[in-house]
Amino acid sequence: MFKILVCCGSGLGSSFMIEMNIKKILKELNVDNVEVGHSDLSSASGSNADIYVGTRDIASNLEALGDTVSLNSMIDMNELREKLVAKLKEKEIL
Amino acid sequence: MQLNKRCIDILQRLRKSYDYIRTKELAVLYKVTPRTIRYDLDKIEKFLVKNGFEYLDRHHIRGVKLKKQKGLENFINNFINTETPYKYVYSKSERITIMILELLQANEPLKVGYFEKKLFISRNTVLKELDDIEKWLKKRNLNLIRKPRIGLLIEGSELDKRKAIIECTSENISLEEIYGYINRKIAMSKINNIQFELLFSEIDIDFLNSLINYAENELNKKFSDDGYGNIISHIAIMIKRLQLNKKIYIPDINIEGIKESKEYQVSKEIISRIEDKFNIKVPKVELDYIALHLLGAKSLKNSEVEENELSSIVEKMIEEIEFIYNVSFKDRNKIVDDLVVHLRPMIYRVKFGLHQKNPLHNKIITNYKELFLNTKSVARHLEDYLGTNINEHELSYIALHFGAALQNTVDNKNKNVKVIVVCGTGIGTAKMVASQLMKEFNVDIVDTISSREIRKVDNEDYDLIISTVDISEYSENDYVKISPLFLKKDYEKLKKFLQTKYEAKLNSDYILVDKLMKTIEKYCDIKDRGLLEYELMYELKENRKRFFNERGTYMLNDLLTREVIDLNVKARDWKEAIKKGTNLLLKKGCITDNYVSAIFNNFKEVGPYMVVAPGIVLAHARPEDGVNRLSMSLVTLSNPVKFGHKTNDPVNMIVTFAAVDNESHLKALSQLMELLMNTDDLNQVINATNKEAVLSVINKYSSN
Repeated sequence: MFKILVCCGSGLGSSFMIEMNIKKILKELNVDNVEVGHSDLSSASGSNADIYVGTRDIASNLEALGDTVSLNSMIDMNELREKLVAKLKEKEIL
Repeated sequence: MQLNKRCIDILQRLRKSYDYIRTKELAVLYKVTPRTIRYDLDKIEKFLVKNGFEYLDRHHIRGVKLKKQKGLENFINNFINTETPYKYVYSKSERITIMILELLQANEPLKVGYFEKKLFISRNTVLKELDDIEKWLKKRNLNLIRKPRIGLLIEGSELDKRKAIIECTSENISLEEIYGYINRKIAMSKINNIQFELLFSEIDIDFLNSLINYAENELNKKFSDDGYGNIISHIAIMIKRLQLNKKIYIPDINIEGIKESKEYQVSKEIISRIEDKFNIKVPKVELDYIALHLLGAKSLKNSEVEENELSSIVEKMIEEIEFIYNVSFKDRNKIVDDLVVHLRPMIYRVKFGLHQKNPLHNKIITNYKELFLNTKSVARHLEDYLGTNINEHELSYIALHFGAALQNTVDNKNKNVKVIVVCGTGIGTAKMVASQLMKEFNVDIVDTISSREIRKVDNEDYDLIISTVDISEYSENDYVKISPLFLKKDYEKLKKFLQTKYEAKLNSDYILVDKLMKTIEKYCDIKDRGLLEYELMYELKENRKRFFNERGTYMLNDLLTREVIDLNVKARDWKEAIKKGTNLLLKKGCITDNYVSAIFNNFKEVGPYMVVAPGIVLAHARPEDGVNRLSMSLVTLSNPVKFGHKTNDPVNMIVTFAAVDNESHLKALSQLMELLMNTDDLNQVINATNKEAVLSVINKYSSN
């Protein structure tokens, strides 16, 4: 299954919040064949997700792992929706 | 980090007023530049923060101020007494006590200069404080006489003087300390050392001790620590006064029946021994006073006196308490007996106006106010019987007994750790603590005793000693010392202690299973005990797991409660802002210092990613970085600070959270997330000036 992994420094707070919002957006879009998870930076390197999501200050670390969505704010739904949809289209999920 | 003398002085000055002091003023005072003072303040601040206290309140016009904080007083006192290489600086009240005592005990007039040298204070300070002393003495029918070129002396009756001495000493020295002093010849603090020297200098304490032991043997009773301390200080003061050859006039006390009492005979013998030893003549009236003290001293047991009448009064009081609290005491007889033992000497004290201070009095009336008032109400039976009012200190002692009895009504079984509880008397405080222990822990109270009796207990009889007082014969590792009020920190301390030693017994599942087994046993024959226990245990665990899942763990308002919210806080930079949030959790013991450093490390290593949205920081680290309890705090700032985030600066709200695992906090966090995403509600929180407004928003998001 297509996999999105949200990362943050500790894998406890911010990443989970973003994961929730991604799930919400996917539901809106009626996408159900995508798996979303969250983790800390160090465990992210061992995973193989199709898209990595993180706030901009850690996104540079993620880029080495694969396609990355970089966010300015983790509570800005519009920003997230815009960037996520663009990425999913690029990956031909949408 | 050590503070130098000037820093310590400044700290003391700040703490004396808890008000703004201008830097310039300090500079003039210490004859240094304002810049030096600012450096000093930096040092003090660093020192305070390092030890978990808040930053100084520094205002560019008003100056600098130390905020009142829990534990700060104690901390500073300890620091000054133990850590500094500089001499001890007496506080005003300490100085006044010392001066009063010296004046009362002096053989000839004392000069102002004497106090200047002794207390390291200026002449003006001495003179100013003498005014206070004069007022204090006046209330006690004593006059301070100041004669130019001759000095200071106190005039008044011998009885009033002695009362004043006793009042001064009992205010500042606990009787436990006297006992410790007698045993070890060292006081626990400096101020007390001076007082002890005044009280006992040139008196052979061992001799006094032998007198009391004699009295105990003759009267076939054992005094409690309080009683012991009272008698010994009374005798010590008496001897000193006689040695100083004061013209002694004490009114006769004419107590009916006192001459027939055995205590009177014992007092006679004590006096004759004192006369021989110190080569003094003791006036006859002193005999009555000692007898009175022996009668009034609380003893641990007394087989002689008839107590039917007293018992029936006590029963009445207990009945009413039962009625008020709608309970019925299990060990009713024992409660009656204990209270009678307590009341017998108390009655003597009340009748003869001997005032006994209850060191716990203030704490009792603040923490157990209702209990105290109810005690006061039921004590009217006793007051009718005595025909006089009972003072509040005595009442609070009685309240302790009721409190213990009430705590005890909670059913307790399966107590495995055998504990002996020790307090000054083995009656009041220890009982209270014992009942708390039984409520909170899986323990068996073997006995409650006074610290003087402890050496007689066979150490086969117990696993652990828990004491509210220092036990001089034992090293610190031999017993656990807790506060008589059984505060939260005591609970944590004991929990830690009991857990490491008796982990299995503490597990609540085991206790519950044990109870269930007993119930089952009553009605069934059990075929396989082990298996049944195992299955019950399994079901409990499953049930708890289900409960956990159903409950959805913690809601946002379970975590963000009033005490972890702080609004419009001042912070100079982002580090301070983070600390404002973590301090709230540190104070509650939810996290350790290490967790705070871990948060800072995160910022250092990963950058300001925790600035999750414009103006909002979500400060946290990993559970293993030092989290004691799942917790969260919320702080809003009066002035936004920069965190170095490209788009989300500046920050005006800090949410700190501490997770214990990867899941239990997620529900609350997702609710927080919902809140942050609703701009209106978020603004209401950020702009809130009172906690109600914040809590109402939080509650809105805290349902499933």
